[in-house]
Amino acid sequence: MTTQTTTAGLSVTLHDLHRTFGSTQALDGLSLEIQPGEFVALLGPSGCGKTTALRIVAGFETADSGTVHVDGRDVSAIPAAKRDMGMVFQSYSLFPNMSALDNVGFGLRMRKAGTADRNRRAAELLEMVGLTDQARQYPHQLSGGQQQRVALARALAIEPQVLLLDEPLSALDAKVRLQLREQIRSLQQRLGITTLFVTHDQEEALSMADRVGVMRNGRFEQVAVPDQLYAHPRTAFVAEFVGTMNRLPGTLTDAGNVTVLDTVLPVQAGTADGLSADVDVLVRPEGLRIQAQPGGNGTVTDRAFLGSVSRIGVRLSADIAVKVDHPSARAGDFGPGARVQISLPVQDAVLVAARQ
Amino acid sequence: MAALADAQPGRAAPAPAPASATTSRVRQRGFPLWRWAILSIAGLYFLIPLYAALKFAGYKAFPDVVHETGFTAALALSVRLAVITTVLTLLLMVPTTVYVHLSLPRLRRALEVITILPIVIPPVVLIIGVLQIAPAALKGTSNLLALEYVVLAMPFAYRSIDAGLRALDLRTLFEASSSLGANWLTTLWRVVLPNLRTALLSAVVLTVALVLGEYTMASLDLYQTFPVWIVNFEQSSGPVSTAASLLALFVTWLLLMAIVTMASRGARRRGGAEVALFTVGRQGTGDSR
Repeated sequence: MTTQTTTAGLSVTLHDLHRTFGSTQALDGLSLEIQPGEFVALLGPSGCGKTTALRIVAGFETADSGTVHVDGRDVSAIPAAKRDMGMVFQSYSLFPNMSALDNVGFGLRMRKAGTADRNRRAAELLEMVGLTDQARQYPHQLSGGQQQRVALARALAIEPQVLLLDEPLSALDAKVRLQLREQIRSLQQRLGITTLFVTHDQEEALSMADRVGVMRNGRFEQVAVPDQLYAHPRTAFVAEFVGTMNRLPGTLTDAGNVTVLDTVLPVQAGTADGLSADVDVLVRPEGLRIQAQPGGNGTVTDRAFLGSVSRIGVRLSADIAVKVDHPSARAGDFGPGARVQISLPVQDAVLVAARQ
Repeated sequence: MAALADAQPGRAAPAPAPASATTSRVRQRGFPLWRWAILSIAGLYFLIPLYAALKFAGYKAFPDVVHETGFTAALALSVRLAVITTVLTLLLMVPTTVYVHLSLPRLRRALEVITILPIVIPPVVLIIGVLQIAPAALKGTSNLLALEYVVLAMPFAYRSIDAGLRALDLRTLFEASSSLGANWLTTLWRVVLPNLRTALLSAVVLTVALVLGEYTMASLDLYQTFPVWIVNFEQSSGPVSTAASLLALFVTWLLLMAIVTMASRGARRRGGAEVALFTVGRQGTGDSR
């Protein structure tokens, strides 16, 4: 590791952003504060407005209303070319007529850096992403993963105020994606650069980001650190979008508890609002308990080995099936057809309206 | 026999990227007989008239061509018109097509229809149209002819440039470039044009060929361009005029081959497209999105 740029991260604030495309409301009052040096992921299904938000920060789109502040300064009126934001795109965006080195040096060239300076700095950045040997190669000679690493080096070369990543890994195959995930994260932490990352892949968001903002219909459902998001989803949408979730029918009691699988559970604050007595309780696979029991309430349908745990599919009735995680070492009894008892340890239940 | 059969698939397997020469050799070996037959028939169809013309003119006529009155002036006029037309066409069509691709993609259909019109509309109508709107200063000068040729060249230029742009992810290139601090013009100059090299050369080739061979408009406008001169001269000396047309044909052909060869070589080095006269297709395997 040679000379490294340490970009002191800057704060980024999105305030009440609105954007409409025709009849589609892409952003509906989106607000977010990103701390200096923080890595925030915008996570959501396609069409939730996450890319629009990123493009407004980059300056490629303008908001109908609302502001973007970087380091306390309103950048809304500054054109994209003058915002000093490094961006990596989903599609391969390297300039096909330039070598890897010239691609990385392009931003410096626009800043009137001398040739020697530019090449030295570009070479440093290529070394940083591990592509020194490919400096003279053209984009078509590089693999997809290499191209995205060059694109990352190119974005970082201008010592940007903010790094914007627009699904940079989604065009790559699984193995390369994993490697690059780690590389991006470690680079980001080393440089301390404030980063906004857009993805529809929850695993990517949870594994890379300091905080994840789950978006739906142009607004945040919840912005939280990954384990918080997983353990304490604030809405049913977040609960079902992040990780695997089981739905079990339950009944809301007058006391504000819920009865599910003959167990009475407390309800997580806020999730029972506006619901009638018939509800569905959302439980993670690791939140259910499984026991072999001849007269049990379920029958095992399938079992998938996931490493230290196995995920066991259990049918409780004609229209209710659940997934249960159980230590693989003790999952031997739960082969298909086995009669089991599924129960719920005491936990805060997340409720949603029952499916019709 | 078994060994031979084993070797066969290995040889036919796609060669790695740099070995494009190997690939084309394999392709040539697989060129079936019936294709040769068609090629020969078509070749004869083109070559026999040329041979007949050469026979009729006689080799001695060639040196005479250069000394005939009006030859130099006519050739100079045609070349000058070719240069002006090419420059004007590129200046007009490149930014327009880029802009439509980038910001008004829905207009592409309309542009396709509009640019085909010069082929459909008779030259006389085009001439009258250009005369109606041309600035007074240009009327009565041979430069007016260049304006008419710009209209005539539009279908070919547009199609070449359009095909070239379609092979690029123009929007992403512009956004990437702009996030790095480049303005519109810089991006056009440093990123888009170099990647359009092949398409532009193809547009240039078509425009030059068109201007050097155009007869109807020039003759209607009463200008002695090279093709007009050849036809006029034919009335006085058949063999010399024939020699002149052959000369024109070879010079144009050499010029075009030179441009095509040059462009293809440059493009291949960078993994770009091969120059084809009407379409520009991506050649590389690794760079498809």
